[in-house]
Amino acid sequence: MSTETKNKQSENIKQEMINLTIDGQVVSTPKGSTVYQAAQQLGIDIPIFCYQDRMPALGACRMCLVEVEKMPKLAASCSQGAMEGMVVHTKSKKAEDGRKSIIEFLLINHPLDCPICDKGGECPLQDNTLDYGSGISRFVEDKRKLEKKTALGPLLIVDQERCIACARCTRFGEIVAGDDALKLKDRGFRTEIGTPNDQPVESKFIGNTIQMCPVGALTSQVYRFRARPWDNDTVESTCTLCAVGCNMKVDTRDNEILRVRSVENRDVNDIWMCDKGFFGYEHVNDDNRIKTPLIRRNGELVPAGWEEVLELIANKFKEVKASPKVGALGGSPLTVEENYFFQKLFREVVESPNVDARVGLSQQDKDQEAIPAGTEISLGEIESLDNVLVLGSDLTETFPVIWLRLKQGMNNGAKVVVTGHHQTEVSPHSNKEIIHAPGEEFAVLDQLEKEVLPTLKGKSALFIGEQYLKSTSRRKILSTLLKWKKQNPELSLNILEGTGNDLGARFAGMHPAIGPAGSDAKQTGLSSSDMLIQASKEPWDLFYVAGANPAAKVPAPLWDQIREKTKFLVVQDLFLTKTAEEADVVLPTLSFIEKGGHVINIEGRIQEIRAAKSAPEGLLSDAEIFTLIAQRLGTTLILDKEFSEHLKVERLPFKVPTQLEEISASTQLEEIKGEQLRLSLSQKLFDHGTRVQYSPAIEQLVKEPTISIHPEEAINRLLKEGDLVVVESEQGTLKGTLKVTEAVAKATVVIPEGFPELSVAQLGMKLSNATAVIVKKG
Amino acid sequence: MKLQIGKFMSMLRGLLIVLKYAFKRPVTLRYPEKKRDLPERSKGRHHLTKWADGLERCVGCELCAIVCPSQAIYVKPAENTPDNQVSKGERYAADYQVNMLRCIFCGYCEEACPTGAVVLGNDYELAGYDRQSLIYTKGMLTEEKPGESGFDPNREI
Repeated sequence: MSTETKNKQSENIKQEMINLTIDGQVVSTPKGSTVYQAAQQLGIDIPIFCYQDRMPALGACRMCLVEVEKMPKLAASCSQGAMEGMVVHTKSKKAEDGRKSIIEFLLINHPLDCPICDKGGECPLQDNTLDYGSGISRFVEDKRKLEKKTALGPLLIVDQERCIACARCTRFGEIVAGDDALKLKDRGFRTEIGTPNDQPVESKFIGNTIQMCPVGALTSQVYRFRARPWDNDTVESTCTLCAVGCNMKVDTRDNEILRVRSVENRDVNDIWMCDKGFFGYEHVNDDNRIKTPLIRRNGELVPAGWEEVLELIANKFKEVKASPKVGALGGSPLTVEENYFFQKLFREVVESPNVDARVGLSQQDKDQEAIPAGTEISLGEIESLDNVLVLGSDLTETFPVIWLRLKQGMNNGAKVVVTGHHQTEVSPHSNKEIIHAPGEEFAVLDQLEKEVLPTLKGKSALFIGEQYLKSTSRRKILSTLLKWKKQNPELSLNILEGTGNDLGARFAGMHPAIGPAGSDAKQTGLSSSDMLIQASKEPWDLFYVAGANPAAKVPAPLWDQIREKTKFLVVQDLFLTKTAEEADVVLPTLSFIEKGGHVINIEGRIQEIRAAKSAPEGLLSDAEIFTLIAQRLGTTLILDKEFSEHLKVERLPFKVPTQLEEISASTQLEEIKGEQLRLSLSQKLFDHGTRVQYSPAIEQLVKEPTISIHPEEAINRLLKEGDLVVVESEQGTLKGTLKVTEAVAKATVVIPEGFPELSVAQLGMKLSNATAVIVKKG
Repeated sequence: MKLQIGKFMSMLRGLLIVLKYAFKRPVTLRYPEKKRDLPERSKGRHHLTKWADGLERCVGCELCAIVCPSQAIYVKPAENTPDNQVSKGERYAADYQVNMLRCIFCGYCEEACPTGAVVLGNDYELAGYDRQSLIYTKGMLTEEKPGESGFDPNREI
């Protein structure tokens, strides 16, 4: 149990308690709780449909009726407040008859098509009918006939006949996700589920509504008619598609993944997950996965045997031993253990200090980085915060479930101030919002320091995101925030940055300056961008890339130079990425669903991933590949006992220095000249990343990437929405479609990362926010 | 003496029974040349039946598979599309297999079936030379023409 829940419990003890009797048992419950909650305390089961303990009671379905003495009618226990001296009967004849009538009533229009319903077998309506229903119906008239299959979006299917109008899904959108994705239409027995303006559903969390629906009204297109719940083999694992690390259950049948569900973990994802987690696994089954090792012969990649490629790599390693021109890149999709092997293979066997998991991050210098990603508070604590400052973080796109937890915090009374280069889905919910151009961070921080900082009371948190962190003044910004922290000790600093297992890779030592478990590296190596820059200038012996795609992270001409000057390039990945296409040896590997290990999420929590399906034939995990190569070089890679001890803690401590020293080398912001705008890199949850681009469900949710500017800037440049434009920086150019929107700050151009068709990397290496660029008609 | 008469009489009685049955129709049949007419409701090999309009009755609900005490049935459902309407409604069985080696002919599957798709016919000659041939696939189980298996295609369930 976390400290947070303990605290809450001790708070409860201090609260005023009231006593009531339920089914002859006396229970004492905090004032303000409901009869249902009191019955839960006693372990008395009361059936429910509309009530969901993460949302306030609604009392719409009447399933939870109980008899309360001295009350004239049956009361809905979910919304009936518990009162001193109350005498409640949940199993009296009157209560049971009442519930029977409700079930009979609900079933009047509910079709009895359980045999073809996806919910059949795990349906609360089925279960409650069996446990509390009367078994017969007096209704002989025709049931209402409605559309059986209505697609509300690419993934969400609604069966209007089955809906019992409990409003769980619509209230999830209103209360928990804040996106109002679904709405109830009409009244009475005509009630239907729909979307605002009958548009396809707009939500990043629609999978949760499917999971919450107490009947088979909302089903997913992906899982539709694939299996019965009893067919599935379930494995609990952790999602690694973003750095939140939601706990999930993977359901497989015949070694095929059918669906993913979320698992309750109050400290991380509560009971939620985002649609990337729910549907992003599909790449694992994709046919485009590399199936055998590939080797370059006569300029072409041809299939080869494992023996041959491993021998070749081992021989190359012998040749380049101790050469300074050897580098290992990548590691974010790998487990902590695999990253540990990766860096050990290079540091100890190949004797090269150049290891780096961060490919494409702009601030790679340790001094510039100042404080790495991590959170002081646990994700569970977000719900009990009083004040939150979200600085330059697009929460729904980068850490979607953190937004759900923050929204719950807002429901509990938290005040939220948002700043950034453009509006986000969080904006409409914020109490104060400042949209500003990149480079104006200090003016905004000054304003916040004057206006907001003095008003912060109670538990407060700063969430700083990539818009600010990808700035050249990152260190200075963080140092300002540390100053705030000094003034207000209850203010916690949370740095939201990175994806997948970035923290795990760092902890395992895939960092040029840091060894395993945070120790200092014996010899400091080059960062990934320095390696790539050096390789573009002078001959380079070897690059070993695992789970990264550097070719997509540097401008194309630069990559061509790098590739030309690199004598040997090994790529280890699931798919033939741009880098892999040009490699000398390509090694296929396993996805996070097919292997076990540990991953570390943004709050430093060490979680396990487990293999939900067996590995495709002939494929080896990253760890196995590293071990086999090391074996051929006469070394056995083992996980040091000391290091594996570190993996036994629940959460790694996040150390925040009390202050940061000024370093003279802090870069000055370049001046804006004439027509120039400042660049802001944005992130999208549904992008065309290496993995998710092969997930058909996610592909349907992806919106075409655009270059966004403010209408005023568009008018000044005689540009309009939909124009093909060219963005020019000092280092390169980029073509794309223009979007004109007031959501973007003036003097700013927002370009999303993660789309090969709009590769922002073309604008230069070590790209940072506030870089001056020109936007003109293409 | 009395004992010997008794022995003789019982032998005679036995021989008389033999004599009596020699003129009666035999109970046994000369199988396999001759086969017995089974009662209509005897349980043998499964059939997957169709509606009179030729659509499959099976909707792939898997209730037969879950009720089966010997876990002999495997069903894999899929969704009907306008171009590929296999059964009435939205769902059909893309795959349906019965492992005849496991089946105990209890008929629970027939009982559980909400559409009367799976029925147990009278065919009891279910032998084979290898195990694989005794896993009856959907193609083997489905009747080609409605009513072919001897069950009225117009029946309710």
